[in-house]
Amino acid sequence: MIEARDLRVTLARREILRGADIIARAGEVTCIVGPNGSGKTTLLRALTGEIKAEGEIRLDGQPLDRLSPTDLATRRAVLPQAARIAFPFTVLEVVRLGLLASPEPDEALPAAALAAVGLAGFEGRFYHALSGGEQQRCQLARVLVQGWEPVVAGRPRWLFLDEPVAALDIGHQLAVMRIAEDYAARGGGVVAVMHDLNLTAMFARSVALVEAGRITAQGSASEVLTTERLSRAYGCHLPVGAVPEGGDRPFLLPHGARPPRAV
Amino acid sequence: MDQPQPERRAPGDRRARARRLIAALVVLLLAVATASLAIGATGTSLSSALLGWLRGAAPSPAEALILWDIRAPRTVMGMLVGAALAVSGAVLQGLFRNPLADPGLIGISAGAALGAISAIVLGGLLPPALFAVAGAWLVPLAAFAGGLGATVLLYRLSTRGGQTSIAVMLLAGIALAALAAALSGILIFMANDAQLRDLTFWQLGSLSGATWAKVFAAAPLILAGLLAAPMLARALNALALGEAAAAHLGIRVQRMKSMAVVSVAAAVGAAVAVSGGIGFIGIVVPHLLRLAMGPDHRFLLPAAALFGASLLLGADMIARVIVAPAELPIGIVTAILGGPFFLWLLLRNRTLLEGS
Repeated sequence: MIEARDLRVTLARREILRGADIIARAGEVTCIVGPNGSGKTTLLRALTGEIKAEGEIRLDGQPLDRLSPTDLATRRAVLPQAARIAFPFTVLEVVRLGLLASPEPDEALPAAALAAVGLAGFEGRFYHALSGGEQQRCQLARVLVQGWEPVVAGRPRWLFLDEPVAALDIGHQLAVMRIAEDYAARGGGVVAVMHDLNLTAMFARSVALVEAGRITAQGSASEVLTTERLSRAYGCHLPVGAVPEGGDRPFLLPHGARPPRAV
Repeated sequence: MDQPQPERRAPGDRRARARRLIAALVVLLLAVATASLAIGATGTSLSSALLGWLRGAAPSPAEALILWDIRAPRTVMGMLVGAALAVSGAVLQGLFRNPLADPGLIGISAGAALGAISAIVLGGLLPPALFAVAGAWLVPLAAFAGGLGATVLLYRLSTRGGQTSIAVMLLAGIALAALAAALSGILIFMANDAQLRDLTFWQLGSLSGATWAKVFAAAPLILAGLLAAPMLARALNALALGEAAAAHLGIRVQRMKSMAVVSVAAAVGAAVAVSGGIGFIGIVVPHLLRLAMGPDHRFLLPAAALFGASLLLGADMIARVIVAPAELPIGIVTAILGGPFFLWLLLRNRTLLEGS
């Protein structure tokens, strides 16, 4: 379980997080949603230990700042938003970098991870010559190699994904979200920053809504993704319906949405 | 794409090819080093003497003198300097995440030169006891300090929030090099006649003054830099993904960066102290090797040491032979070969500069 309390982060004299509380449980996909500039990515970077935050973060009971980089690398893997790689690495060489974190690298993992993200046969291609979506899936394969087993010695491992489906077509969006869902189903934890609210409603067991540096709501999709909350957070009228025969799963079709109100 | 295609048998995995290439580079270095011992202004009779000596026949005293006291230290020095410059180039490029970083281009060599000139001109101001202790080490150590100062300053100037701006790095490097050259000029202006003679010999950028004493003065710093490099290889690979991603993979990024900066400054400082300004080895060698075997630093760094040593010995042989019995400063040879190569690299990598 990840428990973060009263997180505060100030970057370049601007207070990005102002007392955010969030909980993520192993075995679940937790999605962080919110408008541009609300602090979603900063929150994720604080949770991974990439940037220092005031407040308290516990990773499976242990304070995050007590864990060494090597230790952390065996317990969580992080997918960055968009990534340029400095030199002409092949796809296989990029994915193999995920083995760096492991004390006993398993040489069979890169091929399995590439197959999982639908890039089998791309091993010999150069990363920089791939399309944006292919690069994103290649990076996901590297992250999967790093955190391959969702549970190690009875302890869950964590995937942190920053907009994992941003550059993907709808088929690959679903495929990637299923990978996340499957990872959680096998006991691991997944925390993802998302823009697509329908995919969030479909795959998240827990949704955290970020507004101006605070979590204003966290709970199930049907609790958090409501007309009232979303309209307030995103500054436009967003009528939320329910998926036909989908239980109470929210569904957002912005056909009735009015343009954003003037600021 | 103009990169060679990875092998068909293990797609995308270039490790076997890299190992074969390293084995070939070992053979190349042995061949070039033997040639470097055999070739020189005194004619080819020495080659037979060398071959005889390798077979166990004793060379004449004159042959022994030329082989052991002139060509051997020069050859060892060439190997050390070539390896130091090439490996430092590769480490800097990995650190700055850019193939255009080179100790000569971005002012590190100029900083080291300022250190060396300071030691030559101002060394006499030290307490005599300290001067005696420092002795032959004074110039390499001062060059190390100058190179370290320039590298740290450059990194600070061009990096904001973990992101290194290549435009700022290149421009700041030019400014630092100009500043170091101006300060060096002031020191040269202050120098007396004996010091000027030392400075002139040194500034020619040549291996011609190589002696065993100089080899032993430079070797510890250069070897320290070279031996630290393989320890950085995994971290430099991870750093290609960016600093945050490297840290997520468990790399202690800050520690690794400090280690890289210190090892580059040590190797470049010592190389500049004994050989003056030799350019382009640090940019040409890693780039050619990346084309041939990929950017994996675990293979790139040892290959750069071998190939850099071979290339510098080759350039030194050209410098010795082309206007024999006189010789060209080796810096001229590497610049004539490296300059056009660097232009080609720039044109080919336009997007690298314009995208940043």
